[in-house]
Amino acid sequence: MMFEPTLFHYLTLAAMTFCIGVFGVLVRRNAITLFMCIELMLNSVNLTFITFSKYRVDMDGHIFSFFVMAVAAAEAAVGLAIILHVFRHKRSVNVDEANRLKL
Amino acid sequence: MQIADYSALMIFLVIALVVAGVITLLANQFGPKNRTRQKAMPYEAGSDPIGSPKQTRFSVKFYMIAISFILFDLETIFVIPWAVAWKQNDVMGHGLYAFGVMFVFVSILTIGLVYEWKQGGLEWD
Amino acid sequence: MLHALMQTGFPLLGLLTPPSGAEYAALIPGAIAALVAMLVVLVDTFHRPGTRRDYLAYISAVGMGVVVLSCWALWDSTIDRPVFHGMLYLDKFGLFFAALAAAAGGLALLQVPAYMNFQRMDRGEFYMLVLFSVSGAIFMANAADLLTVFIALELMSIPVYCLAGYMRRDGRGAEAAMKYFVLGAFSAGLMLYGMALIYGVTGTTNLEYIGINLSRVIETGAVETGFGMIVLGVLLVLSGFAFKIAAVPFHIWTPDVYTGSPSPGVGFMSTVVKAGAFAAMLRVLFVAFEDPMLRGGFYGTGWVDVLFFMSAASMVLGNTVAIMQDNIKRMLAYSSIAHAGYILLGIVAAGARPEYFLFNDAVLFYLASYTFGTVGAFGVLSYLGRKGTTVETYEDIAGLGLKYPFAGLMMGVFMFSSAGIPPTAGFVGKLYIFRAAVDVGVQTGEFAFIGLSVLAVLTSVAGAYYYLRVLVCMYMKEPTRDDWVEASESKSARLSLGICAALTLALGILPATMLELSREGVVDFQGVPASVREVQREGGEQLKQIRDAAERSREPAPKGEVPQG
Repeated sequence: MMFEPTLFHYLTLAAMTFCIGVFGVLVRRNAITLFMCIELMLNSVNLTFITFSKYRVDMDGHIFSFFVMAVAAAEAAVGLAIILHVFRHKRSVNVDEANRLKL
Repeated sequence: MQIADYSALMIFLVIALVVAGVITLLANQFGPKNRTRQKAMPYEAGSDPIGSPKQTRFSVKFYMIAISFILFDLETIFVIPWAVAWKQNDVMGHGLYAFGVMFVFVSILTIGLVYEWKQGGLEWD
Repeated sequence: MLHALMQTGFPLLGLLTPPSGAEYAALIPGAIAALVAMLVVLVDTFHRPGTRRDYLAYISAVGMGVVVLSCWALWDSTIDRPVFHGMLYLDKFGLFFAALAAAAGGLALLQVPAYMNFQRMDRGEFYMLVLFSVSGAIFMANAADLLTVFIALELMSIPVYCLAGYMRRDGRGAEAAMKYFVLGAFSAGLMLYGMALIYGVTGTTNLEYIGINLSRVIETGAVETGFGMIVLGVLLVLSGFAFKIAAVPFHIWTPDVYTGSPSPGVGFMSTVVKAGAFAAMLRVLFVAFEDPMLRGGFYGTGWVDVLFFMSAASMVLGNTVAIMQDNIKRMLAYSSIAHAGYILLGIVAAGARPEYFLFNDAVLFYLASYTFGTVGAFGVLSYLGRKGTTVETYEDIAGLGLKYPFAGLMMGVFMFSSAGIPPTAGFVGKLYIFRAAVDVGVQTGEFAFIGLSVLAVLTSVAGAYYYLRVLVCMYMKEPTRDDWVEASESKSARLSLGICAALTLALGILPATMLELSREGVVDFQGVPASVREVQREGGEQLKQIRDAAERSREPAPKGEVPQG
């Protein structure tokens, strides 16, 4: 018998990857890793949208996920440029070393 | 489409993995081995390697190219659905409108390209 | 999208029907801003090296002026349903915010050439980033769909991340940009997940249909587990907005980013980003999340209660921490958190019951007064300085009020406005916000609202201390480093400061016109459910009479136009 994934499975997978992303942003200190965790969050959002879109037979979720991808690319470009900029000043991409501005 | 419809693809994938894995394993186990220092060296077109491959740094230029690629690559996710729906739109008499929408989109991208070009984003040196 | 398909009754997906000619008007303000941005990109691309870029500021300012004029021209030709397949609204509420964002962007950009000359960072990117961000804010204020909200939010935010790191030689700018970017992208991710959950429950991304479907789901109780998803979705979307407006649990980035960013950019990002986020927040809250269950209020569990605590926390924390700052930019950052608290107080009062919806006009007025005061205050900071640096701390500005009378006078107006001292815009804004809260408290007999208003008054009195400290430093202290600071003799910066001060005083002395505009904006707010629509129709006149009576008792003020509502 073939395994049939249901709405529940997809949503759980998406929720788990989202939580991994959130957890990563909260605990990791390397800016590049933080950034990858944010991308993970966005991709789990995409998965959620596509799942709902498929189960509701509605195109809106697909369209939304396209735009999320495009925005993620724009964020990637800007984010990597900013991280590079920080690296030029600090010779490090550790966010804990970004401490010239007091909290 | 059910996931069972992809079973042929899965079977093909499994067979390919098994065949490749078995051949690699057999060669690794039974092939003659004669390790020398020269053979363990990283391959750099025959010349002596300079430094360790771990410390190789990539120029930031690769990053520039990669980012430009991503930005202009992602326009396809908007262009392809548009192209697929083009015929329906044309039949419905919205062809000019659909064309105009995509024209505006590509024009905006072109302005970005002009900016990048003039700022030297496409120069290697 | 769904809206359009249901309208035409067309069953096929993937087919788009062109919007009718009148609908294109909804694009005009945002499209003009984007076109000006692209024009600046092209002009700057062919800029002759070695010459100054002042003309880019003039192009941008004229463009922003055209946006404001287009809002004025469109003011009476609004459409009472979402246009562009349910993606955008064209209503007075959106036009109000569009004009506000454009005005703030144009005024901030006029301060830029002098600043860039001080900093030796004369590059064209500053202008295009600000202009793109303005167009994002405009689309955000007009959004009728979660998709538009999201794209406009990112269009508004991504340029601002770049703006934060604009000073390339200053390591603090890089840090500010990284903090802003990482936290901003994180909050955008959280918000998106909330949107995905809302979409999953309701099956649509259109705000009005979300409102209808959420009510249906909650009424029937058909989806037992769905309620958890709704609550989580609403909270996540709210947290995304709270980050952008810098309300308290999501305010950590604010002081660092404001300190590290160039001063005219901070004036921009603390006003336009906040205005755009507040506009979209009002849309989402009052159109999509208007169900009584989600609304809550009065010790219930809804967004009113969440915002109630956010408001209280923002006012207290913003004002108390601002007192302890030595850096004026940090002080203004904490004070902007406090201002977010006051604005949230207005939203809480207006959201407590559907019939109080019209109290939102205090929010619009307050945002206008806050915008001009803040753009001006940061303008003064960027007006004073010298090569490579500008004034930042209280020591830096000591004694400058007498040395540079113009800057001192301007700073006086803006600080009085921020502190809420008459006869400035800030006073009237605070008056209306507090009065809305007190009215709601009295009418409903809920002491929580009275308590919150009292708290707001007390914290704003505390706030007066640190605003006036700026003026004390400027006028009564001896300059510490006498030859350090010079004022830029830039005509455009003077013009910008002058306009900001004139508007701040005008809104304080003759608030009737702006109040009329904000009231019309609230009365013409589209997409609200039938109960609120009824209030809009009947209450517009009522509210006007109450306010006019109060106005007459204070001073004779000129009357605005007769409302359309």
